[in-house]
Amino acid sequence: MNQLNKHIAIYCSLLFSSNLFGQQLAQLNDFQLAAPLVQFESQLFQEDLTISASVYFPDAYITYTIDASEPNADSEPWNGSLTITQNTLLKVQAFHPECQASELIEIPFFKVNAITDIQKAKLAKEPSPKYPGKGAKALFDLKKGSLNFRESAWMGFEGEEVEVHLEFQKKRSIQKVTASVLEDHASWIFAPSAMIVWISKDGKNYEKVEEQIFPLLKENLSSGLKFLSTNMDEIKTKYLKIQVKSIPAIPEWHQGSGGKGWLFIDEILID
Amino acid sequence: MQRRKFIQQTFHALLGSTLSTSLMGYSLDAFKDIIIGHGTHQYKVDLNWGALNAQYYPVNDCHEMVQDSKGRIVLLTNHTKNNIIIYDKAGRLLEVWGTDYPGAHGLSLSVENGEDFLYICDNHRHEVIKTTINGKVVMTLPYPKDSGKYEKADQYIPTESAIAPNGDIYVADGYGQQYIMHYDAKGNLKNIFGGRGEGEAHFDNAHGICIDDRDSNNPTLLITARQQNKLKRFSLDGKLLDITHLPNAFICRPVVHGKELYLATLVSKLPFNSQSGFVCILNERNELISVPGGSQPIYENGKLKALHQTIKVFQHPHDVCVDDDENLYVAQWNSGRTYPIKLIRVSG
Repeated sequence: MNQLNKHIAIYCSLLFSSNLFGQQLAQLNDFQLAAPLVQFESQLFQEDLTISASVYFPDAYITYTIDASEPNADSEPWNGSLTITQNTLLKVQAFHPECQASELIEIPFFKVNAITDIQKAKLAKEPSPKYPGKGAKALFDLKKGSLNFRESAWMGFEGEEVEVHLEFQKKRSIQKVTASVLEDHASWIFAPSAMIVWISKDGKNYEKVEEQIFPLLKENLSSGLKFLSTNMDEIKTKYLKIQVKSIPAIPEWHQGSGGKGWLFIDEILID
Repeated sequence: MQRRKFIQQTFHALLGSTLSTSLMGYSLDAFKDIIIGHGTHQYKVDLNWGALNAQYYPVNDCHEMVQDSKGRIVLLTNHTKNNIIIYDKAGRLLEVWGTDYPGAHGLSLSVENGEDFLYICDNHRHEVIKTTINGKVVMTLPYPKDSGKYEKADQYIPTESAIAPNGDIYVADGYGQQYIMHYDAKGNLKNIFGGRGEGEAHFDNAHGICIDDRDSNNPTLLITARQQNKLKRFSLDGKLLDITHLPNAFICRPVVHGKELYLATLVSKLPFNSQSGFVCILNERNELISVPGGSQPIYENGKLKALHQTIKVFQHPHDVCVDDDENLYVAQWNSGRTYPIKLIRVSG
């Protein structure tokens, strides 16, 4: 093809790509990639966990980090799947030569020990009948819910605190208690305001050993899975009481200002 | 439009220039038209199609669209300033009418003795209204009290209708009790089936219904169970025949065109809460062949892999209309009051 023909070919392709019969056609750089689909068994795992991530748009690719830095187009490329063996904060994002990068996906993964020595687990107050979950023991089954609060992994409490009484098979040591909760302000679901840990010698009279207040809520349009922990000096006990406190009232920036917020919890981790 | 100006400038520059091919290569790369879809069904995207001055011709949700016998594109919106907006295929406004359909949701075309009629399902009025193509009401189907399934009109929230070759009318109560009503052409109730419940012959969000006449000797009904991500085929007398599962896809209404079936897909189940959506295109065996805006169809051991959005072209597609040039018009729900998007078929 001589130079002139080549020019004509390019003119034509420009003409037709931008302005086909008077239509103005959208171009790749008008659009953002959708977030990669990240799939895994659960954010809580015991030995190791394999995570897969995919993006199907032509020429799109995924990069990731596990060192808390933000990924960019030149970060480590995602290669099919990733196996982790320790606590990991995974950040993934999809990129494309022309399209805008996808939103950044951040998912924490926790390596946990199965709690096998619970003899009795009891809730002081039952959750809302609308979101009953699967009973007190299911709070310790390591089966996490997703962002979908309707899943049966979640227990929902409206304006109430969650109070769990545990009896272990025998006295055991505890250093950390973590509540796994949902934050979804658009659905009137808020992270708790505090967590209080009590111990007892007889399962009747309890002594407060730790009270952790969580920072005030900021407005957040997206929803998220949160892990709120209280670290304490090592305690030894056969009886444990955990209170996870709902926010006293919905903050003023929310349309439900002053009303009761929902508290959704799916797991409690004990280390 | 800045981009357009740039392209025109580039074009003019090219006309009189001896730009090096590498530079031209760059400008071509940077302004590549997006193409979505797979295989035989791929499309360029016109985001500006049908955009009107919202002060005069506003839309809320663009719920459904059909092409009438004159080739015009008819849009139904739940904005009562102009429930019906009629365009030509280039997106030029031809006509508007309709101020009485606050819950305008379903729009079907029926050609009867050479004349076009529209069936509008109204969620708020709890009725189905048949009009001429110019908006004159010719019949209203109220809630089917005689069926014994409904105590009051509020329980009946029809989302879609379909008209059989013999004139019989089918109505899906997709936001109500999930029944499918079968009327004769005059509006006498002949049968009722489906409903909420366990088992595949029942529905959760029986959102869309159409007559599948691709096998012309044996027309059947296709009904979406949107919440179940399933497309269910029924005989015209209401017997379940088969099921197509489109995992993850909240399919709105089935639209038959030629040998294919088109379904706007409101969102996908994963990632949860995303403002996603895409279009599904199935062949005559109801196998997925193209997903404009979504992940490619992959069958593993005969099972379709879960679908999800890959590029943010759409936000809650609610219906797709296929015109006589094989181009698509996608009407969207809760998309920020945007007008429909046109997809222009390119050879795959």
